[in-house]
This record gives sequence, C-alpha cells and structure tokens, in this order.
Amino acid sequence: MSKIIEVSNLSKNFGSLKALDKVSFAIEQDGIYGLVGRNGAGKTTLLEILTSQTIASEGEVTILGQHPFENSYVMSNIAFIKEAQRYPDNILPKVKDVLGAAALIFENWDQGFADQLLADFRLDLKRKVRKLSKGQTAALGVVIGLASRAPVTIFDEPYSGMDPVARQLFYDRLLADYAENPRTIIFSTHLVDEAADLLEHIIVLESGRVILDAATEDLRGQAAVIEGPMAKVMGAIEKLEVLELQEVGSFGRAFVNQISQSQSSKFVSEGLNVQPISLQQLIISKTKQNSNLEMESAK
Amino acid sequence: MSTQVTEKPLATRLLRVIKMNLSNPWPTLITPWLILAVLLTTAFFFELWLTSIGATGVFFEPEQFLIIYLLVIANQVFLNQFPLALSYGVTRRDFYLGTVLSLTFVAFASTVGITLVSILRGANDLTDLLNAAGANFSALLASELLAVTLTALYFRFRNIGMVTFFVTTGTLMAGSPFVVTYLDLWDELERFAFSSSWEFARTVIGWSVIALMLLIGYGLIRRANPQLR
Amino acid sequence: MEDANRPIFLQLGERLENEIISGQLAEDSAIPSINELAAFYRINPATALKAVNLLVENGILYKKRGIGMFVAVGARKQLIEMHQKTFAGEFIDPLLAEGKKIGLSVVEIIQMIEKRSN
Repeated sequence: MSKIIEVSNLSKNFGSLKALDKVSFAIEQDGIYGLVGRNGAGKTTLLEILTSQTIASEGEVTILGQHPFENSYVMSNIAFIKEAQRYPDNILPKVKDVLGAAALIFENWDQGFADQLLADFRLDLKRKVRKLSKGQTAALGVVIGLASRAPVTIFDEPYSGMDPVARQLFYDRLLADYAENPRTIIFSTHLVDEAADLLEHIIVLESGRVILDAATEDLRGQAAVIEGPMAKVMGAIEKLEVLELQEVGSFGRAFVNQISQSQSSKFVSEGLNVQPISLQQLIISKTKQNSNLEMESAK
Repeated sequence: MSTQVTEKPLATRLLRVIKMNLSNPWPTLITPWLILAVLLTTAFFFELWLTSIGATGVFFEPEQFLIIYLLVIANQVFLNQFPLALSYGVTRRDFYLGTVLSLTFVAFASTVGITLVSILRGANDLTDLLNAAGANFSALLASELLAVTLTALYFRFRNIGMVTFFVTTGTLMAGSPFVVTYLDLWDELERFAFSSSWEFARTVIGWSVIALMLLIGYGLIRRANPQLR
Repeated sequence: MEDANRPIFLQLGERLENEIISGQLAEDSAIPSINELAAFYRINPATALKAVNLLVENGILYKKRGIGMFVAVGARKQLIEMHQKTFAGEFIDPLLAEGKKIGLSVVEIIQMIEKRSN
C-alpha cells in the first residue's frame, strides 16, 4: 500500500491560540479513517488544511505526492463534506440543483447511486435546500460525498443532526459502496464506539496534537481496567502505563494502556478484577491523561 | 481503488464552473427580465401619458435597473458558490476565472436584451445602437466586477476588509472636491468634461478600472478562506 | 459485532468456525464473499479479509482462484479437535477458580455437573 496523504509538522495558529501543534501522520491509500477528538481539538482545522480551504501556519501536506493548495490535479481528487455545509440558497435553490452541480464537477460521480441514496434518505429532488431539516441537510451532504466516489472523500462530522436510523443507513451504504469501490475515506466523529467497526484506523487529536494514531484492531483488547483493593491495584500497575486512576475509599480502579494475557491472568488469580475497555473509554482515558500531562508541564 | 482522476484542461474546468453558476438560469438571466417586463410596461404607459399632455422623453431605461440588479446578483453568486465549489474540489483560481466568465456572459446577454428593448422602442441607427451597447456592456461588467472584488475582499479580510474599503472610499469621495478646490481645477475639469477627448477618456478609464478590479479580485481570492461562519 | 473489546477479526473467525462446526457451512461449499461479510456484520472489509485469511492459514478455508473462499474438506473435524483441546482452559479453569472462591470441592462440582446433565 502507498501513502496517499502525508502530513508533517503541521501547525495552525489563530493569534496566540494553537489550533494545531506540529501534527504529523500518514494515511494509506484505500481505507476508512476516523479522526476523533473533542470539540475544539482541531479536527475541522486539520481537515480544512488537508482540503486547502485554510492555509497552514507551518508544516507540510502532500496528497497524491503533491501540495494540494491551488493544485487542480489534487483538488479534483478530493471531496470535502462539511458539518453544516451551507448551500447556495438562491443560486442553486433545490436539492436537484445542488446535486446537478456535484454531477458537473466530480469526475467519478455516479448518478444511479445518488438516486438510490436520495430514496434511502427520503430526500425529494424538488425540495428547497433551505427548507430541509438539520438531519436532512446532513443526509444531502452524505449523498454528495458518497456518490462523488472521489478518491479522497473527507467528511467533517457528517451526521450531526441525523437520527440513529439515518446514521446506520450511512454506515451501511458507506461500507457496501466502499467494498465495491475502495477509496480513501476520512471522517471526523465523536461517536467512536458506533463507528469503530467501520474504521480501519483511528487518529485522535487533543488540543491540536495527535495523541493516538493506530489501527483499530490493534487497539481492541489492549487496554484494560483493573479494579480491586487500592493497595493491590497499586502493586499491579507498578510496571504498566496508567492512563487514569480512580479511588473510592480503599477501592481502586486503574485504566492501563496495554496489558498482556499472562499479566491479566496473574492479576485475576491475585483476586483483582480485570476487564478490557471499549475504544471510546480508551480514548477518553487517553485524552484525560494527555490533559493531565499538559497541566503538569504548565506548572 | 476508485479511479484516480486525471487533471482536465483549463477550458473544461472553467466551463464546468460556468455551467455550475448558470445551471439554474432564473436568478441571473430570467428573473431580472420578468421584473423588467413589469417595469417597462409601466414606463410605456407612463410615457404615453406624458406624450398625451405634451411632454416628451424616455422615462425609464432598463440598464438603470440592471446595473444595480447585477451588482447584487454577482455578489450572491460569488458569496454562495465559492464555498460549495471549493468543497467540491474546485481551485480558487478556476472558480474565480469561471465565475468572471459566467458574469461576463450575463452582462453580454443583458446587453443584448437592452438593445432589443431599444429597437422595440424605435431606435434604428446602427452606430448609436452599437455605441450604446458597448457602453452598457462595460457598465454592467464594471458593476458585476465591483461586487466580485468586494466579495473577494470580504473572503480575504472579512469585516476588517469591508470597513477599510468603505472608510477609504468614503474619505476619497468626500475629500476629492476639497482637493479640486484647493488645486483650483474646476475650470479645467469642466473644459475636459465637455471636450470630445472625454468620450475617449471615459472608455479608457472604464476598461482600466475593469481590468484593475479583475486583477485585485484575483489577488485577493488566491489566499482566501471560503468558510462562511 | 457483539463484543466491543475483542478484535473483530477474531470474533468473525469464531463465528465462521461455529457455523462450520454446526454444519451450517458445509465442507467444500462457498462462504459469503468478503464484501458480503463486511456489509452483513457492518465491519470494515479489511477486517473481514483478515478474519478469512487467518482461517485460510489454519487450513479451515481454501481459496478457489476467481471464484471465492470454500470450506476445506476435513475442516469440521479439525475445528472440533481444536476446540476440544482448548475446552479445558476456556471452560474448566474458570469453573474451578470460581468453585474454589466459594468453597466448592472438585468432587462437589463434578456431582453438580452430573446432576445438571441428566
């Protein structure tokens, strides 16, 4: 596999605020990538720089081996669907106008697929875009992004406002179409556990930095929570990387980054309770650990 | 993988932007003429009445309306289409050039419309018609490009750009009479305005301003952020 | 997939194994394609491929070029033997550990099992 996107030491400052702080990662060609992080972690800024909507303060991005900025070769391979995308109300007022424009611009546009998706999401071609609900507007974005079949398709929080049924539909259609037409799909999301099975790879941003960049399968079953009497828990975690430690009276709970099968059975035989943790919990713990470290370094 | 897209020639890319801007012809090419049909009909009866009481003259010219209408619509096209086009993977350069060409087409079509109205109203001197068409075309285009340049300024520098522009323009407009008075140039200006060289100078100045706005707009948009928040 | 905490390819692999053991997937018959598996279980196709490849490596499935994946002849027997080997570790050990914790002797546990299985 080859790298389709490479990001190195990317920073973006808004005045004194560092929205992105020396971000580096690479994305392989053909895969579904999740960009995860809290509000304000820098997800949107990062995606805007990748799609050359915004200009980075420092660092470098290459897509398909070239700089994307004002590069019509690179840009014609990209579709970017934003959260709360604004559509041109009076110039292209109807759903069919917005789709018509997409059909003109995207080389790999599949009208049959677009029509099928419209029916799935119950979007009426003659509806005015202005009159769509938040969820329907999000669905329109999803239709455009999927039917564009752009080699690099980027969704920024594609489903804000979409109900669980519509989100499930999005996942199903995305997977089925991805299987037939593999391409590089990146989407930012809060809903880690819901999307986890789809994602091949997860990149977690926190305060403008990458705190986790790993294959989803490698993350599963690695991290664990160890519970028991505080003294025993403390003994167990001595040589482990602790993400988060909680204490209630003499009872303790530790989230650890990585634990082997033999360690786990040893702790269980010592009377501790060891459970694997979900991806969402792992990311929350990682994020907390990161902000704790930051607070310490600030002192 | 999904077929990687090869770069299409510039002409193809620009044509796509033009089609995208004009795929719904209502706001740019149809609606203004529906409004004009009403205005012109009213003006026709008003002029009939004027004639009946012995007065003469043309009461309303379509270009007076279109200059303002196209200023507004050029702003609408640019403001609305720019963010969408970029999220569809169009470059700023292609969007800008394509949009200027779209608007040039709209100005041209509008000029043809105005000329047809003049012919309907009885104008028949070809030279006069052509001269008027040239003047109307450049006026409409200048109006659209003013909107384009201002919108580009907005995308590049947002509210700060807008405030700076209007304060500067306001100061220049308010200040220029004082400068003319101070330099004692009123007589010179009057002589120039009624001379035959003014006709020529007006054309040269007009097209220079158009070219200048085109370049400034291009310079502004090259590093502009399309997000509307 | 049902268990959020274990690698999905292992879970999918086990499902396929169970279907082979139960006879739902007969020997020498085709299994669903990678894309069908991915769509059905709502997982990434790369993950489905990983699960299938693991079974191919273990000789449970085999590839017919251009046609698809098939259950190997003898796969069911092989799987049953494998599962019998791991049975003690997976099921008896936790049973004994829990019994020990609440003070049940091995004899008592055996008695309970016999009573239950009648």
